[in-house]
Amino acid sequence: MRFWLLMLGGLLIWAAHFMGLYLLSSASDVARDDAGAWNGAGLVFSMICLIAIAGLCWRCIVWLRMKPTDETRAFGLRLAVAGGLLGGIGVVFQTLVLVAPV
Amino acid sequence: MSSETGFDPELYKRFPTTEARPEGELEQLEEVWCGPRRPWEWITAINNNYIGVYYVGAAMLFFVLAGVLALLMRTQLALPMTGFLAQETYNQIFTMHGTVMMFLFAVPAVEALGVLLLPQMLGARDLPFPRLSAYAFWAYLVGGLCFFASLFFGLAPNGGWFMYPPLTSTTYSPGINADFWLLGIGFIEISAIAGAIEIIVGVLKTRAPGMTLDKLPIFAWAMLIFACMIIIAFPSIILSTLLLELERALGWPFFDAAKGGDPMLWQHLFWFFGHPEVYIIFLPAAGAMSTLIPAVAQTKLVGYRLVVLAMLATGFISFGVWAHHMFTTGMPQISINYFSAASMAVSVPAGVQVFAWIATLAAGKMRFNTPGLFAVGGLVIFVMGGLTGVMVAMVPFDWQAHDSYFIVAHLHYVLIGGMVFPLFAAIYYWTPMSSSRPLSERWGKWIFWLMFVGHNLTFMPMHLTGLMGMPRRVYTYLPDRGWDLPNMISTVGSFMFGLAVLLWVVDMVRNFRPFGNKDAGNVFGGPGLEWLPSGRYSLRSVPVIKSLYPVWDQPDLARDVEAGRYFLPGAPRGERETMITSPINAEPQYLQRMPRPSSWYVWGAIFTAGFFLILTIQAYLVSVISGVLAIYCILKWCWGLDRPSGPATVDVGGGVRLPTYVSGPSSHGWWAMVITLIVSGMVAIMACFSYVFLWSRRPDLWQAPPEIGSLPLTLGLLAAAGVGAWASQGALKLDRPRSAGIAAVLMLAATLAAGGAFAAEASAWWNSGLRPDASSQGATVYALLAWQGTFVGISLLMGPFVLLRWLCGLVSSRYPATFEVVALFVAFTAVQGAATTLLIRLFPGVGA
Repeated sequence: MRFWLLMLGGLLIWAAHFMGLYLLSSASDVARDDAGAWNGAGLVFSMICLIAIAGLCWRCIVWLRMKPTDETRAFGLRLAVAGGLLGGIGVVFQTLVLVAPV
Repeated sequence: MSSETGFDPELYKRFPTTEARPEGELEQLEEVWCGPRRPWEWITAINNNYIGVYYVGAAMLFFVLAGVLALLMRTQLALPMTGFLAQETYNQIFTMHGTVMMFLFAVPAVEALGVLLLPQMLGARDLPFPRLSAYAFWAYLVGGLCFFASLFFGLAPNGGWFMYPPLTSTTYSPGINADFWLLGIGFIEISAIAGAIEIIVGVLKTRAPGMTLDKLPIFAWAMLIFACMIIIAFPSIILSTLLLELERALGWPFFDAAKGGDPMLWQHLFWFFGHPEVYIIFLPAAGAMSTLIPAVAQTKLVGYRLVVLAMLATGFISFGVWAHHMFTTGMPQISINYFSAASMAVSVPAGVQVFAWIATLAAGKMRFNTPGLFAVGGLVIFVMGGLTGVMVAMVPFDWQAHDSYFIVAHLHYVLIGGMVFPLFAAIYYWTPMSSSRPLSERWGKWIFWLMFVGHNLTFMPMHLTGLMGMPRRVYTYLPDRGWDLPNMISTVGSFMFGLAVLLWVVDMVRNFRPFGNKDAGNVFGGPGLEWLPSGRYSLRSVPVIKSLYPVWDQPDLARDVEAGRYFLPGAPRGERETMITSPINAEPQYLQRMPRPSSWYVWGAIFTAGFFLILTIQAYLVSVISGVLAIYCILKWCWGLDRPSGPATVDVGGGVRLPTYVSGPSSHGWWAMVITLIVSGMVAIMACFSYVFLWSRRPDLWQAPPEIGSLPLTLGLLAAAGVGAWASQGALKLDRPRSAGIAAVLMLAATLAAGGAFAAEASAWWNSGLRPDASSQGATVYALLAWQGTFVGISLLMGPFVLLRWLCGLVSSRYPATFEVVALFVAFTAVQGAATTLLIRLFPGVGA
């Protein structure tokens, strides 16, 4: 299970980020409060997701630098790094919606 | 390689073995895996070599039928104001065209490819649940044909393939047409989910030893992701069809705004399924492209890892774009923007795959044979469709293009380019694996060019007609709007396309010869295991895999496999068997005993289809009888599980001994139940979303829940059910003289506790005065209760089933797998019940 979570970690964080932002914007719509506070929460959440992705990528890069002899593990780590980068780009792209003027 | 399960990888060095195989071993293998001998055995067959061909054939039949409907539509639209089809007939035809193409052709076709190809590709003897495959196929075929036949009675659904309420509510669709769609599609989804469970467990648990994840064929990756997407996405359509049917039949107002419902709920639920659905259709076809392009170009796929990542990313991101079908519905701007951003992002992984294909073709030596032509043609068409997809991801553009023929053009470019052309490429490429004759290359080229030109003639003008304002789903149009000529060109193109398909059918009749004792061989020089010599038992022996392209990189593989020099060269117990291996490193774990054909799953499928379809015509008693018979057949099917047989371990070759029985989290049955429960959990989650969503629309309609004092009783009984189920399988494992009896009684008690909890909660809500047809709160509360009630009902069947098995001496500590999965189900029922009870009792709470 750990192997799968690691390998898919970046994409899972992206998915959680997307759902989180959507839930926050939906809650903002229902509460009909000042959207600024909800957007702020969204930004904080996005930062947390980016930090998580960065941490995941860094850890995987450290393990890859130890040159694992297990090819399957190396495959999983490379996929984890690439998935993390892709997920990170996705998180940034989605977060731009929060900061760009509507 | 470090071990995942404790299996010593040094044992692989014993293979290929050198000693001669015993006399009669191959003959015994052939006898055990024999094909149908009597006429009815063609119906009860469960081997994937038969079911796979049946499945592909049925899917292509529905493709042809839906294609004929398209030709009828194009005939109607060739000229303005023709009277070829009446308006109501046209409505039924375009609805059926979309519905049959999406539900009865596209998903089953790619699933069928998986059923046919995966065991051979993975080095397995068959899929892990062959009777489930057969059940899924027959339910699909019988149900699909009955559903299509509704056209001939004027009862076909007529609300578009996505059936939006309020158009499809009883006010505007009073007939049973919509019910055909709702009930017909509902059980077809069950069939698809059964196939998905099969594929997930097959890809992860039945691979040849040494086929680690980094050596997993790209098609297998695609099928794995496809199946996981089905598990997450399809529950949404199952729920939405149930809710709309409840509204139509019983007046529960999920989508009726007058009573607090919201038609937007349908759109969210439908498109949460509907958008992943198109990627569910695309990914296996992309996997096929990534497999046959290297073969056609005779070089390895460029960027295997990136293509795997791209497919995974497609799978994930596709769940974040559903509301791009709803840009014009008045959603909050910021939500729309999220979906617009994700919709642009989803094109990136698709682009990665396209560039990988182009790079592979450039790196190799492209041969323009028929599979190659269809692959390249599909790539061109898909890219064009993808470009218009990014256009409509821009909200302002979509506001102009939505519901116009521009969208029709876009969706046909991506679906035909991304799925139909790759499917035809796959058919031409893999037919020699199943048939003693390949299809004709000469005819294939004609078919390709007719199809390619026909497709572009049909759908390219639709971009123009759409931008000129022609709406979708109109049965005719006025002259002199500038739409006449493009529509005529589209019609001409569609008949070219139809001619191509007709020629393909003729080519199949002339050349496709399955089920024989020999196949046409590796005509296109493919590198995968499916091209090794094989029989109905798949490979004579299961090789140790050292490469992603075993036929290319391990030159003596075919000879050694055929000589039985690898794993499982025979049938060690004289039965049908396949090896179960671990999910990451494919280390041998145990030998799975596989079933022989019988008739219970066929009858079960027929009665399941009957239950749903007869409900449609409101013959309730007959429908209930059919349902009861379906349950009886399924219980008879399950009665034979966990029978003792043979020694505890056997030699599977090279002196390697494997257990013949495993229970618990390593067993394939456990995995299947866990996946089934994920499906169920997703339905519950979507139902909870529906509850919260409808509250957010009309919080003023929400009344207080029942008194809090009644809650501990419900939760207490559910806790007892969960603990009882868990304790029962713990008791069985103790292996004392009375363990089996205690376990069976505990299980029965657990199911009764779950039943008691349900009765307590349902009566609490009924006594509170809330009624399901009164408001959206009533509808969603009773829908959640009904879902839980279904699980309780199944548990109450399982309890006595387990007790009866114990009384017949079939419950044993040595063979606990069936008992464990029942315990899993009952425990899940308890947890689901607790979660949904807490939601409806505590949110939004008293006085909210």
